[in-house]
Amino acid sequence: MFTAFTQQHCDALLSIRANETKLGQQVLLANPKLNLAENAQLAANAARVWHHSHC
Amino acid sequence: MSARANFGRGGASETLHACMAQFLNLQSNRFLHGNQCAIIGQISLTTQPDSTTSVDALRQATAELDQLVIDATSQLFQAGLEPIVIGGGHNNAYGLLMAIKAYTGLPVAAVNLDPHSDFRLREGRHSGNGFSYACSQWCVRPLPYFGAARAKK
Repeated sequence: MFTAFTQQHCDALLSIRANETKLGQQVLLANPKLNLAENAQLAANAARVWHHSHC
Repeated sequence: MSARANFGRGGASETLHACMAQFLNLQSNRFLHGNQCAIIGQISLTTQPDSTTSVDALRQATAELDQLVIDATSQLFQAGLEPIVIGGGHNNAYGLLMAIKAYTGLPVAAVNLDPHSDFRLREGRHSGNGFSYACSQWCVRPLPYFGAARAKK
């Protein structure tokens, strides 16, 4: 069984001192409405965009 | 579960949230920016074994979990991602190795950093025999491992 790690999960684990410079504010999180393959493809596309704009 | 199938202590399934609580609160930096990472999700069995589950049933459940790990990580490799699997027992090494072999068609050169070699008998899947099962399927080339504990006398 695959369960997406959502913004809600992430928010629950961030400390109250969290700000925009913490990894938890920046990581790409899964869309629970999509399956694993679709989430993987989204992540891969986002990685390509980030790589092209920063490297 | 898989550690209990190896007559060890359970609890490794809690690792993901413990690890995420630390990781997500790290400061982004020039070596690791949050936008370089995606947290996809969690893999688990639909029915979790309980404290009364027999060792044989735990080993069967570990084999079922192997297949879930193989299926999930194969999809990540297909998408061009580099998966990091957190938590569970070291049984997950087997699923990862099998998924890489399925994706590349080649045996994998793996480095195992562990006090144990995870090369125990193929007596049913558990946390201590991921590499022996992987080697039996020509999945792993001879592997170095670091941190091995000296055998007790």
